[in-house]
Amino acid sequence: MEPKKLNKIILVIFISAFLILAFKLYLLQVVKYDYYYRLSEENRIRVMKQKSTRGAILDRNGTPLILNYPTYTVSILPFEFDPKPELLERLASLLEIEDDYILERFKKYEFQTYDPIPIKRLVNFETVSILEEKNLDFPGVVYEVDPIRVYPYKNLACHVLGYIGEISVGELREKYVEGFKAGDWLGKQGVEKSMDNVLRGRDGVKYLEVKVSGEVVGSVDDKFDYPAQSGANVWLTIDTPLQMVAESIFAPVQRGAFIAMDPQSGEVLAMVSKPNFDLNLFSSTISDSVWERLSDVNVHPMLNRCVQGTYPPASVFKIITASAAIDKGYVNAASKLEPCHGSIWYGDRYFRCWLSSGHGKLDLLNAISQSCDIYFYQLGLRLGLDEWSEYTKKCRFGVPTGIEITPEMDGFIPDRDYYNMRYGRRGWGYGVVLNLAIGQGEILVTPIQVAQFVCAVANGGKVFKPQLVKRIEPPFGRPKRSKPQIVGMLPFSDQAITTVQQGLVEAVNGRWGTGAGAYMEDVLVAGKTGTAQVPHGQKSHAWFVGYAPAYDPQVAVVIIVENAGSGGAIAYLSRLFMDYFFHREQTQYATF
Amino acid sequence: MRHFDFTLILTTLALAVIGIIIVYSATYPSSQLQLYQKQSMFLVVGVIAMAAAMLIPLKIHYLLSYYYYGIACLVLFILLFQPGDVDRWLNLGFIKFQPSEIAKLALIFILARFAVDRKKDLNSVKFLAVCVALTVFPFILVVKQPDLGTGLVFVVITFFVLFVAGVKPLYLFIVASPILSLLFAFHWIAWAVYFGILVAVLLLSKPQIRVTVITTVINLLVGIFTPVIWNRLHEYQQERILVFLDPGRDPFGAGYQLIQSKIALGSGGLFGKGFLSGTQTKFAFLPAKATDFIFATLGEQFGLLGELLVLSLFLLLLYRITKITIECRNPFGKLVCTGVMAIIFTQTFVNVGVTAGIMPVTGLPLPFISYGGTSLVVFISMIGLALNIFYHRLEY
Repeated sequence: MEPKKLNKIILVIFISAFLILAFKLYLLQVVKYDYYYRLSEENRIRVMKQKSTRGAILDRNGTPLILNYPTYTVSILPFEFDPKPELLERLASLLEIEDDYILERFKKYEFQTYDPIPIKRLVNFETVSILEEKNLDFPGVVYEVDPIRVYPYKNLACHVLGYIGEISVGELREKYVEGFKAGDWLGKQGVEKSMDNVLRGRDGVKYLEVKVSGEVVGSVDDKFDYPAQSGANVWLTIDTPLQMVAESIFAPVQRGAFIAMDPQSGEVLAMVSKPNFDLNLFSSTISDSVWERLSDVNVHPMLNRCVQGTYPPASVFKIITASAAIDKGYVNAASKLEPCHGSIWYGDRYFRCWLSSGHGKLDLLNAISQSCDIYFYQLGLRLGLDEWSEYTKKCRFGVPTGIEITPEMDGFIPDRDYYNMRYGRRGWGYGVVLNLAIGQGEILVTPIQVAQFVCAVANGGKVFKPQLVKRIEPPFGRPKRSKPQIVGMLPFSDQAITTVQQGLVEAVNGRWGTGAGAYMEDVLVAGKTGTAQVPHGQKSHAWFVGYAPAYDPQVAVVIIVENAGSGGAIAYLSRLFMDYFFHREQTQYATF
Repeated sequence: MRHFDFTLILTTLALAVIGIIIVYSATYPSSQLQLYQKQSMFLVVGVIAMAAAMLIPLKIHYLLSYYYYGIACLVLFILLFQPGDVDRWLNLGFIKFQPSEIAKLALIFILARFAVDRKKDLNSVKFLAVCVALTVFPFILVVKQPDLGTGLVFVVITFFVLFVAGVKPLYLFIVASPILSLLFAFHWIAWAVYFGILVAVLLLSKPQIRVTVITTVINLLVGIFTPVIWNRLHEYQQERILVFLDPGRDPFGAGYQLIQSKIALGSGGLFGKGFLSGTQTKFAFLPAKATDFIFATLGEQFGLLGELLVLSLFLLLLYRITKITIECRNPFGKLVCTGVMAIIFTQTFVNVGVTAGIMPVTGLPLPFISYGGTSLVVFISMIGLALNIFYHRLEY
């Protein structure tokens, strides 16, 4: 390009850019001079956060499980508040708190200059009226409407719903980039935590011109307010009547977990973890004694045992061992192995059957229904450790299911590498596979993993992701439905699954079935018991898993009761639940 | 004078001295008063660096340009893995500086050299692709810091240098088109108009068929998928992106600073409130009143007239540098000078634009005036470079 032309182009760009700036500066400094001069000399701008309303949580039928209730929060504005002793005293006596506390809060959050520091929540209306009336006596003190969560059903589904609380220092450090500020509330557990982003909505902002005395002049000209936006409502897959039934069935249980799931979609219909707690405790400040009880390390009431508790699966895992052996062609429904005399010798010790008198010679179906350990020791040996752990992992044990509750435990599936690492290459005997074949030993699973697996067995092999959220309903726009999500298939042939299903039907309906307690007259139930031995000489954990109707499954249940003895002893809990599930029209709601 | 551009030297020093005065007033009366002393010290260091930049033959920069670029990118990369929070500072123990300031110079050198070496195929797809890659790499590194403003400066440098080097405006437009498409995609009518213009330009100017097709397809894809992807994001994710692009949206952070900056400017009026009489200072409102928002501090005290004086000095400075660029016969020197001009222009325009509220809050310092050692020293040495080029402007 010709130098002269280039010179011209560049200078034109520069001069026009500077003219734009000069024009804008002229508008600010000459045209709107009076306005800005007033703001700079007499008044100031107060930015008020408009709290968004947190979305509600409803069950699958639209019954609200969490409601919002408006209360008032009194805050101080660090930018305007002058911590003079007499003001502190006046404010402290009005709010009935310590003046040291106000000063402490002020000092702690002073850095966030323009953002109100909450000093008392749940302030009653009269106090707020006094503040409003005498606002000139309280410069830099403001109040906001601050809705709190109310839980009409108290303990119901408390682990699923979770609670919200003020952001902790650690969380603040992590979430600062997302725009969180000190004093913000956020979900701490359950769906409140995992769906926090959706439920929270967006806080709005209002700009006010304020006189030095604290009197509000009006809104600000050149800065647009934006209104708060409510959070989305979240509809759960939980069915409140079923949840109530499950909880009342579980009322006598000290510690345990109960999950009911739809095997055709992976939707969780009911989820109970015991011990539980009243969610309303978290709406206000928690007293120390309550907190002590909630954080008791021996009982862990806050723990959602369904996804955060890990247990040995015990005989429930015979379902996998049997399916794998059929899939590999080692046995079929009629295969008989060495007879059970109550124990077998392997390596350097006896491995016992739970029935010390022995089961005699059994075929596979009977071995499942009577849960004969000797039969499954032999299957374990035929499979070997590598095949067993490969099948187990393919059934998606040892990894989180992805349900909408965090944190979720992985559980643990041992394999050859683990034993080599733990005991050295020659330090362990092959006997471990006998124990693993009956679900004992180092193996750990969560009840939700078991529920996912049982649903897959029930529906013929489709593994659905367990799901708690059915629908997200934003204040504007179309609601988003969560569709059932198939995450894989069971690694077994159809024939293997069908055979095992027969075994599970036998276990509940057969003459010697261990799960007879779950038997129903008009619905064909399939199921499996489990008795997980625990160390320290305590009573075993009792498992029952089941589904019904056996060949057109509509519901699957997983029950574990800690230290309750044998699985057979708790199978009736499944019957109580299914009785309601299949006859809910005839049952009186009010009995629960 | 034939050898020294005294106007340029004097303008630079005038701006730097004004800077020190404003920094003094911005921190008056407070405990940060020593800032202006530090700034004076940086000015001395800067003048030494300017002398050095005048004396080092340009040939050396030409030869080392690839190393400059490599080192600058490496340092920017290391910065992302510094322990603690990612920030813009590199701490070597005895000295602390912002590598992104130096990366601007490195980018100028490498682009200038590359354009000089490939003079014959300036308008080839390959040449432009390499230039884009050379810009995008440091761009990503600074945007991750996160410092979008400096990334923007990189982009403007590249466009200016390539334009002066002789790349056809059409090709520059094609390179910029996906970005424009992205911006327009949020409003479908605007996008449709833009796309129509793009296609018309392509059809009328007839570049290679390949180029036409690829450009059209890319723009079409960007235009179609941007709204789709955007709508799939959650609201909070959208908000986070918007705040990243324009921190002024955060009403408790930069947004509040922005209001205060406008109040400071506006209340200054035509003549200002007088030296050290700024009232916004007494509210201690801006942590950035000596750096990113220094222009507001200036405007409050000296009014529109003071601002126009400073802007005129900048215009004079830019005019002198442009003159050097045009007169310079050494192609490498010409392009380096172009880059210097581009940086000073962009930062001045963006900084004042932010303060006046016509641009997103980007956090770029005002050249020569904002408080900050790295910035001041680097800008003054850039002037040294320009003087060096002026001295040798008639040599090929």
